[in-house]
Amino acid sequence: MTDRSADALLAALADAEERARVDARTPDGHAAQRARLLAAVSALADDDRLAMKSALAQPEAFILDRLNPLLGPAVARRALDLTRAGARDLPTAWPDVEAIGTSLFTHLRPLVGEDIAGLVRQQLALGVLLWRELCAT
Amino acid sequence: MRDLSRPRLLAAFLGLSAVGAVSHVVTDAGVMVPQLLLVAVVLTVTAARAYKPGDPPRRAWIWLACATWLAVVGETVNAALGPGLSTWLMAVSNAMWCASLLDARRKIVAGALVPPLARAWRWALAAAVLVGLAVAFEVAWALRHGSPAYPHLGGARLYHLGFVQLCDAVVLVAGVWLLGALHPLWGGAAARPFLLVTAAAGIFAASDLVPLFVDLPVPRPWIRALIVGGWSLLGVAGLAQLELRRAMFASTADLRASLRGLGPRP
Repeated sequence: MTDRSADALLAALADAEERARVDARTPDGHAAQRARLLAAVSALADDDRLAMKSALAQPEAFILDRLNPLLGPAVARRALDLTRAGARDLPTAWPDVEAIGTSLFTHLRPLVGEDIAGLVRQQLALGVLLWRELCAT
Repeated sequence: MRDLSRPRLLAAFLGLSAVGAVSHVVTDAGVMVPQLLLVAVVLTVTAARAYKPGDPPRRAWIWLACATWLAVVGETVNAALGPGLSTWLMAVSNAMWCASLLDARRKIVAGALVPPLARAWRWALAAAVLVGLAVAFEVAWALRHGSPAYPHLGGARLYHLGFVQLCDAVVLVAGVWLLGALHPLWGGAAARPFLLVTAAAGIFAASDLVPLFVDLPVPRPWIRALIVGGWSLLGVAGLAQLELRRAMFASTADLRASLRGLGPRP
C-alpha cells in the first residue's frame, strides 16, 4: 500500500468511515480497518508524510472542515471570525484551537443545542491531539 | 456526510406519504390518523432525544409535537363524533404551529451567528405580510357574507375556517421570516430540519389559502395530497434532526478512534 499517495489513503480512510457510518456500525466495529489504513499512512514515503503534515498544519482549514457541513460556508466563516474577534488578522495557531472550540460552543448552542455544539468543541480538541501526535514532535 | 443521508430521508418521506395515501384509500373516516400518529411519535422522540432540557431550540420541537398530537386527537374525535370539538382542537393545533415557527426564528437569530435579514428577504417578508392582510380581509368578508370557496359552511364552522386561515396567514409570514433567518445557513446540515418544517408550513398554508383566492372546481383531491405531503415533510424534519445528531456523534467517534489508531507515541 505504500505506493499510494497520502491523498488516496486519506480518501480511502474517509470513505471507509462514511460507509461504516451509513451502515450504522459502531466505531469499534470498523476500528480495525481504520487502524490498518492509519498504519499505511504511517508507512508513507517522506514526501507524502510531508504533504499530510502540511494539511494538518492549517488549523483554520481543519476547523472549517468541521463547521462547513454543519453551518454552510458563509456562517462557518462568520463563526470562526466571531471567535477570533481580537486577532482576526493573525493566523490561527493550533494551541489556540481549544479556546476557539469553547467560544464556538457558546455561539452554536442557541442554534443547534448543547449536544451538537459540545461535539464540535470535542472534535476541535481531538484535532489538537491529532496534531500533537502527528506534527508537533 | 450530508449526501449519504438524503436517500434515507427521501425513503422516510415516501414511506410516510404512502401510509397517508393508503389509509385515505382504505378508510373513509379518520384517514389521517395512522400517518399523524407516526409523525407525532417522530417529533416527540426528536424533542426528547435530539436536545437536552433547557436547550434553546428544543421548545420549537415541543410545540410541533404538541400540535401534531392535538391533530391526532382532533382527527380521532372527528372520526368518532363528527366535526364540532375536533374543529377547535385542529384550530389550537394550527396556533401551536405558529408558535413553533416564531420561537424557532427567535432562537436562531438570538446568537450572533446569523446575520440580519438580507434586503431581498425583507421584500419577501413585506410581500408575505401583504398576503396575510389580504387573507384577513377575505376572512372578515366571508364571516359577514359566507365563504365563496366553501359555500355550504356556516355558523361555527365558518368561524373555525376563518381562524384556521388567519393562522395560515401567520404561518406564511412566520415561515418567510424563518426562511430569511435560515438563508445564510443553506448548505449546512443544521438548517435542514427547519427548512423542512418551513416547507411543510408552506404546503399547509397553500392548501388552505389557495382556494380563498382562486376559484377551483370541487372536489379537490390535490388538497388532501398536499396535506399528506406536508405531514410527511414534518416527520422527515424530525428524522433529519435526529440524523444530524447521530452523524455528529459518529464523526466525533471516528476522530477519537483515529487518534487511538495511531497507537502509543514512540
